Amino acid sequence: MDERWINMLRSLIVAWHEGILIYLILAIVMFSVLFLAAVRMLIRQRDVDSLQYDEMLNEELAPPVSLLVPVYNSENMIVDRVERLLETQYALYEIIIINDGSQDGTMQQLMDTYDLLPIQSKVHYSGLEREIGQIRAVYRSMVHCHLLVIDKEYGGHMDSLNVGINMSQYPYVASIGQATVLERDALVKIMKPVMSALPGEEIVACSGRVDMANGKYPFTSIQGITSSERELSPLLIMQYIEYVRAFLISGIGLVRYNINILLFTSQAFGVFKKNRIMEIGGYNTDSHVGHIELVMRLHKHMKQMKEPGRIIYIPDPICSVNVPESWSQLLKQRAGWHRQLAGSLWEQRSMIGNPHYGWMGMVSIPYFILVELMGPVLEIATIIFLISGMWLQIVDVKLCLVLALLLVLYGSLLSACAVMFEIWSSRRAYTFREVTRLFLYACSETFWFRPMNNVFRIYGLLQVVGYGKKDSKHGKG
Amino acid sequence: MNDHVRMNVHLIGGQNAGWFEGKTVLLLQLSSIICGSVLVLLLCAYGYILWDKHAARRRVVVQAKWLHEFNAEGEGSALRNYFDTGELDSALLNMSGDQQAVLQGILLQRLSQGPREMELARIRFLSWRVFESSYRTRLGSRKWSVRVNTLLYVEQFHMIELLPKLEDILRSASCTPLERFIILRMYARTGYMRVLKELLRKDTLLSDSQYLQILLPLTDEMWLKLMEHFKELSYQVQCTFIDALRIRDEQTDNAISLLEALILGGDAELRTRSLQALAHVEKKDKRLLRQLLLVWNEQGDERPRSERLVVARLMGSIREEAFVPLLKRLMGDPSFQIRQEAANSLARYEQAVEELRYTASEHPDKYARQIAEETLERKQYGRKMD
Repeated sequence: MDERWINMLRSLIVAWHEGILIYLILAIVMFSVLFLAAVRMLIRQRDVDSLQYDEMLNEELAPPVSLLVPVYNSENMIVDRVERLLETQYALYEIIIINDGSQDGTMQQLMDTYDLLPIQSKVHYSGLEREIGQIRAVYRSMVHCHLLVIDKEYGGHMDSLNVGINMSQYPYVASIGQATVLERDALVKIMKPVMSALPGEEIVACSGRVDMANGKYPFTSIQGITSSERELSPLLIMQYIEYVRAFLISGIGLVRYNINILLFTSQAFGVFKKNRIMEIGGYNTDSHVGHIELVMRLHKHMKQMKEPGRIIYIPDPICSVNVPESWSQLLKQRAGWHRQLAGSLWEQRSMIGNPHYGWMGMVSIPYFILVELMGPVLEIATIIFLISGMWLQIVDVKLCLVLALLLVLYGSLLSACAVMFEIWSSRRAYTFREVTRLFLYACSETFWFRPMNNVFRIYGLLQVVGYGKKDSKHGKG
Repeated sequence: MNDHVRMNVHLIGGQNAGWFEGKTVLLLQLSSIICGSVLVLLLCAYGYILWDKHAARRRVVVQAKWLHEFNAEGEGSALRNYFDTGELDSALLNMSGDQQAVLQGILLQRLSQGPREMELARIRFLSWRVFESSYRTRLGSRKWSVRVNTLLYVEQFHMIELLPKLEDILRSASCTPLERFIILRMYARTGYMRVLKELLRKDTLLSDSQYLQILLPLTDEMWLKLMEHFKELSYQVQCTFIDALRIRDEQTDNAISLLEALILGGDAELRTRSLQALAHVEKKDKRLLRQLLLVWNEQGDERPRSERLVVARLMGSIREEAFVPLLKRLMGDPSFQIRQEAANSLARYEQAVEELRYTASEHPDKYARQIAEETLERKQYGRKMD
């Protein structure tokens, strides 16, 4: 090879590595800052007694909430889900089940169990000013007066939520994911920031910590089952670690210091102020965007209206979801999430780097683009360059080592920090064995789970540009 | 060795171009130190957590033993004996930290079950004798969660003897809004007059809901005093005061006069809340309502949405014949909620069915016709539910 070409190749690889080095340092600093901010807040609040929630059960004080529950082919679990929702501990709420064109016996199960009476002339109020799915019938239960069932043509999860918003009667609506299991006191906890809002402060959306429902690992001791009953696979343990880290860093860290930069609410469970959702036209029903797009529009709307609406994330565990148990399910889920993230950011691209949207436009969205959206591409490219560069012996080995160490710090050690903090601060009874397993798995993240996860997310990006098959409109949790 | 190989060998070992020229060794050392330190820190945390979990387990075993002892049947349990006879055994007064924690849990549980007056008095007396000293210490703790929890327990156990101590906390610069709120709620619950002074302050940062929680348990005497000083209250407290009037269902002459004065006042928010409160009141001044009707016939459509909504509800509670045309007009309001509320109000009138039927078929507004149909059906459905 010509010396000139080798020099060019070498310069390119060196420039790439230097760019990645800066990126990694910035990401580590950002994560560490968010982590420390979250830790400070949690240390302060972790021991406060649940007596603080008692007043929330007073009907005159707590704002009423409509729970929107879209269901699709849920014949086997629908009654259990509704029963659990009916046990919710809150002053005043209604449950709106939206049967989204199920092809199994979901509707029949509901009819048989809850003695549904059709409401012939229910006014289908279209305050959203958006096309919504065709409603076949609306029913009210003769057994539980707060239960409303809507039977509609298939239109997807978001369309079902729009229909639910149209039918709801209370000032706050809660969207509940397809596979979400709510804690009994979930509403009490999630509505507390709304009730504590100071004059001039408006909470337009609120979300909270999501736990993993599979086997209830490692929280079995509070569920009355011993942990030895269910040995979880490494894949589930890694996802648990991921959830803990996401909760600490992206959730709590981003809402600290009252800087209004949280870009997401959990798709599994989030509460929204109904009039604000109506003002922005409800959920976008395009399958390539997710909840994040709604939150971005909310931020945008509040900025345009020059009103101080805030989006809050609470540290309490409020619901749990079943996470993928196999690599193929994980691929499907992660590719879907990434596709939705890309679609949402593209849809609201006018906010990117726009000083008009303050911290959101200048910090939060660029952070999500660089770290969450492009992170997988950069990480995988770095690993490939590291390996190929060392093999071809055309890069500085010491620089490679620096990058490798930073990657470990960025992935494994931060996860381990998050897990150790969770174990220390949690009221759950982790066994010694569980502590050790979680610690070791967290330390191993960079070497197997993270690269695989990145591959899945890159697959999602490829789907955005038209490669591969996409899923149905019903996301899980 | 050919030129190609020589060039590659030359490249290995040192960064000799770009921003980090000559700094790779430094970077490597720095990264290694940071990674190593984090790892060591994590290992220390791991060791500490194991030790902490071990200690917590031992504590749980000890507390379980005490719980068993406190709940024991028969004459062996000093606590059971106290609740039965009121005689305080010295064993209950000299307790260790673990014993106190268990006793506190038991007493809080009993309180949540709504005990009878005698038992309530005994719980309060016992908690005062046992926890007073430790609560005093904990109220001075530097840890925020410890202070907040202690305040919550002091409030639960109604420890009025600690009120002067709470005043000191309230005065201190480190008192956070949540602590301030719990203290004020405690004042209100115990009838401590200092709460009035605090409510008259303009700079207390609390939410509407928190103000309501303070106002609702006020004693009648305090309530009257606050009503006398209504104009001196901050605007936020005035608004929540009206809400509290509604929730407490105050029907005294003073309260009704205040509400009646406010509904003809210039402030839309106070007017709306007063109308809402008035909708609950049984005895209303007919003359005033006629006046209100007159105002609404002239300016009703220009009033804010929230006020129109409340008036629609109020007309349902008053049920004056003269309001029927107004309600029909509101059934065609641009706001869906107002249409619904107006229809619900109309449904409460004696002639509701005829009026709704007529509206469903003859009203010029499509929305009014729809809502009338739905309300008619709901009335029928309501009967089925009964």
